[in-house]
Formats: sequence, structure tokens, C-alpha cells
Amino acid sequence: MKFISNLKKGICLDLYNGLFRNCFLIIFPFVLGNIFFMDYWNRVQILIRENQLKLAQTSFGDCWMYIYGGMRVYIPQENDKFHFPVTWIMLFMLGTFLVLNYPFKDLESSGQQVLVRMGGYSEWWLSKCVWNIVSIFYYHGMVILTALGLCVIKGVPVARKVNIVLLCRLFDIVDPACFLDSADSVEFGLGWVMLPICMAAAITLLQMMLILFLKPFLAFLISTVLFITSVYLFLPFVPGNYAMALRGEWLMVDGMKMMNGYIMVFVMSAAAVTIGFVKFKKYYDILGSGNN
Amino acid sequence: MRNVLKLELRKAFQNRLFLLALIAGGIPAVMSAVYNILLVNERMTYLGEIYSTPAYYIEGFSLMNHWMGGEAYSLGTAIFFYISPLIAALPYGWSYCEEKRNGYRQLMVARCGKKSYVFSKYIAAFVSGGLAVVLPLVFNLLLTALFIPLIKPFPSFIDMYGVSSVDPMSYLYYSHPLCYVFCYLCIDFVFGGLIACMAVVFAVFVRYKVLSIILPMFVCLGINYIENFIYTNPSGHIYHELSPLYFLRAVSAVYPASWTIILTEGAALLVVALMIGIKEGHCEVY
Repeated sequence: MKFISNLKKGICLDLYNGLFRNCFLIIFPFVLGNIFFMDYWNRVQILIRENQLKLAQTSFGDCWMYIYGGMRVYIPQENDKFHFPVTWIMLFMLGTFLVLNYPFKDLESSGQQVLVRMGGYSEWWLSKCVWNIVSIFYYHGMVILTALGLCVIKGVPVARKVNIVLLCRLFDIVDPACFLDSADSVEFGLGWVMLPICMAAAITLLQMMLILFLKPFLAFLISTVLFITSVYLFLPFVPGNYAMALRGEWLMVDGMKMMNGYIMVFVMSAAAVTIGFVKFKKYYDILGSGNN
Repeated sequence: MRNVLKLELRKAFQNRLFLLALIAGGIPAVMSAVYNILLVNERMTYLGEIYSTPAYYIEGFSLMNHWMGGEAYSLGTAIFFYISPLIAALPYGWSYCEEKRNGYRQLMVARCGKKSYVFSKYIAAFVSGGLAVVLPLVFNLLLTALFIPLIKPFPSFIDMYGVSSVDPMSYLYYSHPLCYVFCYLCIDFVFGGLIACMAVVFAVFVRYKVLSIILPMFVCLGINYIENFIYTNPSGHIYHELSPLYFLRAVSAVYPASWTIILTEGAALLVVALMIGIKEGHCEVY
């Protein structure tokens, strides 16, 4: 009972200090949501002006796809040079950056007091894990809700549909044969909306665990390389692929399977929490943690 | 002044993070070299079976389009140029933040003066950042050159080289390829150094060194994202590359580079670094 009560207190404290009092984490998702929507809206407006699209043919699903789509499968060749999807990279990198510093910054200041008063390492570590997951869900949730709100304001229909013609224009896809369905628009389930967010949470948990072994900027460097590798390599064991909506099996021939994605999220999260817990409890020197 | 500069340069080059930056840049450099060497080998074997003489295709397989700066399709190249702002800031961009926090700055200022200290810090960050970016590129160039010969590019194979008349210094690429490579290495050195100076600039405002290392990367990403807003109609327009993440390559990946943009961005970074440096050189440190 004492463990649960301590854990509850730890979570409340972390949510208060690390989320509600973290103005960057609170504000950035709104700003990003606005920027991404404006970017999407500009592109749609150009197509509407050129009579290639009508506003009624678009929906919130297209906007979501523009933000979370990522990049089409890349096949290296001389006439197709690699360039990373800046919207997707920006979204995910900023998320990992915003949750990078708090746990160990906390350990340098009031966290040590909290750790002593809690009476256990496990509560501290688990409350940080919960904080991490909640923060990432808040971050992505706010980006999506902001985009959704702007869609409503601009009169874009709210539907979970993706217009294939618009998709090809937005992501420079020349051959629509890579898509599963030949129809004009395809509908997607909520599971696909949640998968990139869950994957982002798993990657940030992994990053938090890595900070216990390496310095924070090295953990961030590894996350960065992981994201760029995911964009380049279309392989089922590269986790970032599941965070790209464009590469899902609901849309693409031989796309990533949703179930595999959730299994990977679970395995990564469980491994990160367990390894981090063992390392933090047995080997981590909290007094010498000034590696920021 | 000379002694402080010497001391700062020694600190910049004799720390583990400089070595780490070289390793972080060296791994993608090796990946890119291995990929390109295997690719060229495979294609040469394939073409050798079709054509009777290598003269028909040999000029398409030059060091110029298979070293890390000259190609834009291998994973190693993608990783290297993407993390180059982190690599540049890693060796010494963080030091001002660290020394501000632990009180070493006050000690140094008392001994050698504010201006000398800040100036030396910038120079050390600039040189270490520039070298951290350039050395993996030179390493890759030399490693690739062990297996792929430097054949003077022939304009008939322009599709394989990816450097056309809209790219800056394209005349050098086809006439004096090594001069072209040298010019790009100089550009990379200067921008690597300026990005490291940006880390020092951020160090003035933030408390944690991890932030001062990472923030320059978001500046580069932000510049890249601006293209989304202003380059909205790719057909019929010749846009030029805004992002250092792309124009530091000796070959265009999305848009061709432009001297105007390279010089403007370089000047802007320099002005910001100088302004903050002058401000720091005059502010109270105690």
C-alpha cells in the first residue's frame, strides 16, 4: 500500500513539475499543430486554385496523414536522392527533445530530496516512466487536437479518410500502384492513429533508459539516428516505420502490420522500463548524476 | 591572449567529446564508403558482362560521385549530414555552458580578461566544430579513393553525377574536380565552425549543456522546414537550397545550392555569434 501511495505522490509531483510547469512542453504542441496545419492548408489551397481538388474531397484524415505520414518507401537509386521528411522528423524529434532533460535535471535538484523521502528507487523511476508516457501522449494529442480544431474552423470535413490523389501530391508519389486500395479514398481505424503516438512513447522511454548508461546528448543522438534510419530502411524491425502512417498495411501493399507495431511498442517499453529500473536501483550513482 | 587561446584549443582537442564526435562522424563515413565500394564493384561486374570495353561506362564510376559528399542516396551519407549539427557542437560547443555553471569562467576572466576569454572560446569552438565535420568527410574520401579511382567527370554522365549547371561551381566539378572537393570541404569547415559557435551562443541563454548542443540542430531543421512554406510550387521554378543540412553536400539532394544563400546564412550566423560574443565580453560575470 505504501508503494502505491508513494508512486501516486511521485506521479503527481512529476506531472506538476515536469508537465504543467514546463511551459515549452505545454505550448509547443499548439504551435506545432498550427504550423503543420497552415503548411497543409497552403498546399491544399494551391491544388484547389489549380482546380485539381475540391475542399469537400479533403478531410481531417488528410491533414493527419500529412503530419504523421512520414515518407514513402525509399529505394536508393541515382535519380531518386534521399531527403528526409522534415515535418515528420520535426514532430518526433521535438517530442523526444522536450522530454529529454527533465528526469535528470530533477535528480540534480529537488529529485534527490523526493527520492530520499519516497524511500525507494523504484517509485522514482516508475513515476518518471509514467510522466514520460503522459507527456508524449499530451504532446501528440495536442498536435492532433489543434489540427482537428483548425480543420473544423476552416470547414474541412472531420472524417478518418485519406484522399489518394491528394496523398500522391503531398508525398510526391508517382505510382499509386503501391497503394492497397484503388478507390479514391481509404478509411483508417483509431488503432493506426494511436500507433505512432505509442511508438513515440516507447522510443522516449528507451531514450530515458539510455541516459542512465550514456550522457543525455548521446541518448538523443541515438534517437535521432534511429529516426533517420527508420525513414531510410523499410524493415519490420526498425521501429520508426510503425510511426509512419504512410507505411501501414491499411494503405500500402506489403505495409507494416499494426499488431507487429503494438508488439514492438510493448517489448521496447517493457525492456526500457525493466533495464532502466535495474540499472537505476542497483548501479546508478544519484549524487554523481551531474551529466547534463 | 595567446596563452588563453592555446589553452582553449588544447581543451577543445584533448577532450573525450571531440573523439566521440569523430567516432559519431566516422561510423557513417565507413558505412557510406562500404556501400559505395560494393555498389560500384557490383555494377562494374554487371556492365563488364554487357559491354566489351570499360571505356563505355567507366567514367560514370568516379570517386567524385561515390564519396560521402558527392552522393545523396546511401544511409551513411543521410545519417552524417543529418547529424552534422550535433557533430559540430559536440566537441566544444558546450564548454561555455559548463564553465558558466561550475564557476570556471569567473576564474578565467579574473586571470585573462573577459574579451580574451570569450574570443578564445569562440575560436576553439569554431576550429573544433569545423574539424569534427570535415575530418570524417576527408576520411571517407580517402577510404573510398582506395577502391574507386578519381576519374575526371565527363558531362555525358551528368545523370550519374548529379551536378548540373545550376549548381554552384559546376564548372570546377568538370574541370578541376579536386578543387571542387576542396572548396566544399572549406564550406563544410566554415559551417561546422559556425554551428559550433551557435552552440556557444545558446550556452549564454541555457543552463544545461545538453540543450546548447542540441539547439543548433533544431535551428537547421527549422530552416529546412521554412522551405515547406515558401517553396510551394516546384514545377517551373528553380528554387535554391536553404538548409545547411543539404547545401553542405557537394551534390544537390533536393534543390541546388546557391552562393547567395550560403553566404547570407554564413554571414547571419557570424553576426549573431559576434553580437552575442561582444555582449558577453562586456557583461558582468560575478
